Amino acid sequence: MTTSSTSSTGSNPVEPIAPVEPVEPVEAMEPILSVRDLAVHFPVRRGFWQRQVGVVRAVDGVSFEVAPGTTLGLVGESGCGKSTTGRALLRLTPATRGTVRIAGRDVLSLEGKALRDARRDMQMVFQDPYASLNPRMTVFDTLAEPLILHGLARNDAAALPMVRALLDEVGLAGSYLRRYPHEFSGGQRQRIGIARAIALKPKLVVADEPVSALDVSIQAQIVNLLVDLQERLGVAYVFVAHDLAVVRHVASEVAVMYLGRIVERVRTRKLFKEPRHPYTQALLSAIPVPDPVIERTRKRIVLVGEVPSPLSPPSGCAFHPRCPVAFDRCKTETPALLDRHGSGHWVACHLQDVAVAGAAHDNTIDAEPAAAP
Amino acid sequence: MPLFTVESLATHFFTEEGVVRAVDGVSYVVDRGEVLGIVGESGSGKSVSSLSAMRLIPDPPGRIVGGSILLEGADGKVENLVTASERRMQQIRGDRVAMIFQDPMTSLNPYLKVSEQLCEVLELHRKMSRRQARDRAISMLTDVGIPDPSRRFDDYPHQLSGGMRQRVMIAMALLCDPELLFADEPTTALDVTIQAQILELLAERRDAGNLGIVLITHDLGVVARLADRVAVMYAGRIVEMATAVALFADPRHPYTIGLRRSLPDVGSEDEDEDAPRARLRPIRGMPPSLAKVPAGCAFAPRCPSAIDVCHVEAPPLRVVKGARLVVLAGDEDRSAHVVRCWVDDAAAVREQRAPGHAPAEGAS
Repeated sequence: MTTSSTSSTGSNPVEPIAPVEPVEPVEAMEPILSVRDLAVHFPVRRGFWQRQVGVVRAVDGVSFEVAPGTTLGLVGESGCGKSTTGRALLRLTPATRGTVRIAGRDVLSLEGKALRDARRDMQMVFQDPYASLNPRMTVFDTLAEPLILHGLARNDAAALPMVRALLDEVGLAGSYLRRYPHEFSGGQRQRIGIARAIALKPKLVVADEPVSALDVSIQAQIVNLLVDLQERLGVAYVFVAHDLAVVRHVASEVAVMYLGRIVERVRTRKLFKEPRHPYTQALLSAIPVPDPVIERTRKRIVLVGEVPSPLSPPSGCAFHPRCPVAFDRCKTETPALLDRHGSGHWVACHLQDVAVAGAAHDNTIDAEPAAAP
Repeated sequence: MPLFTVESLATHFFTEEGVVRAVDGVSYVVDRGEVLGIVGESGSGKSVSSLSAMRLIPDPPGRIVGGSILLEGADGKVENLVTASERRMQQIRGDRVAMIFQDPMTSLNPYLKVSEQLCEVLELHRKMSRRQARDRAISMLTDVGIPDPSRRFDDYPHQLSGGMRQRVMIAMALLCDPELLFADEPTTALDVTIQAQILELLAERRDAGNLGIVLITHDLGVVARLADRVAVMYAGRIVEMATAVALFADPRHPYTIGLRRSLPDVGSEDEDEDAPRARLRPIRGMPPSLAKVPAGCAFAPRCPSAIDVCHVEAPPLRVVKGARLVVLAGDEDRSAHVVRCWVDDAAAVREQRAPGHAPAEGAS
């Protein structure tokens, strides 16, 4: 079937749209989400007595802000802590330290009713729409439940028109009301998941890999839907994804994570044009581009080895064992995430301190792979 | 004669809901030292076509109902794998034709050490002693980039990371120096930096080992990096096939064009920082159920360029000649650009008219 978002694009593919990001700098607006030094540590227990033998620092001190109606892309490879960060923001995983303020509320200190009320403002879209919808609940039940629980509708009858409007909002026909999740395709299920997330008109939605389980031709439909909803509702997204092409499309700002820390954070276009951290550079160069001519001539930084275990992260900069341009200081001293030029380009790399930062950056781009595997 | 020739292959599944035509008349060739990319979405038949080629279709419910799969040996002798005995297939699989899958955890035996799984292959196919097999297997693990292979050798699969497991599976597939390798989504479960390493490794084997590779993936980027030629599958059929360069520079089938357009752009480095983002242009609707493929062209219900005939009669493969498509002459070589589409005017397809607009020009 045709959905509202796709039919509008199909008919007029080149129609320009208003930019999603605000024209004034992000800093000028009061952030809807403000995260300070967030950490999530998991104890590691072994043996019969389940004694704690160590701690995994899945997220180890991340800070960022998101302005209303904008999108922060959180990217990195598996195990970098991007999903855990997203879950900790919404109190789905307990944080070890730090503060999270959403719409002015100190979310990590809330309990009981205050926390339930706060959840109206902060919702989640999950990767797997198969697993995140209750198979025994109809679409109507799934969408009416939050409306009734939060007092937006007194009963099913009152919720009905609101649920219909929600379905319309996400491009599903009203005739689907009484159907169960298994009757839908993956893309439709993700639309239901999105409808549930926006039912309470939240100010912040954390979307964890919302399109990575979908087929390529369906991904674009869902990405467009998320962008449309942001324009209409002014909701802010934290968009967690490993697919940098999708993140580049939806995010106004991107934070790149490696082993629990943010290594680079800057406006999206800047990141893709001028990546400063050697890890970001390698990550960008590893994405295959759908163009064989470019692919065959392109210089590539092939990283050696894999992401180290977060149980025993390397000393100094966690990236130094794989870094093609690491030097002595990187092995001993952990680099801080700094905005060295006051331009909103945050980088955690000692190379940036080297007097001619620009030249160092060029060298890194041209660096031959340190070793072929 | 090329290394591997699939001709009019049809694999159907006989289910309670009816006959599922998972593969419905697929033909392609792969030669030594060549990578053929097969691109498609879930349900396009791309994986079933390769499982068929390995004769790994569970029967019942599935069965190869037509076509031939010809494998040429080094001595020039050609065998038809469709009619080969199961015993013969066991000799061929893992020896002359090997396969790697998306998820190494489900294809490696969790109860056996890496060493046992690798040595078994060599003992079975090459009649090697355990000692010889061990040496050969360790050197293969080194070749695929596993650090400290003699220590890793006695690990169980769960002790390895995802990237390492995929390397072990590639090592296992390459142990007997196969002539042909089926790689079904070999990097889909891996992170991009690990994916880059694995693709590099496959390219090396193609270039050095004269290996023919069938690379099955949904990722156009992966295909662009590795494939020499590309076949695009939709609803059990190849709808377009060309050299990788031609397919990306001049895609002709509306599905291929739609697929390419639905991807966010990653190429334009020079764009203005404050320029508004263009919307993605998805393909509307979703792929058909293979139990009830629409009459005519299976893509017609989603196709922005469809004309009346598309809904009635299935289009034949035709060959690209300039801006138009013409009837196959029969003497095309394997790098010919062929398209299964009634709309033969390239400009008309590229315009991607909105549905409902009456097409000005009819089918040929």
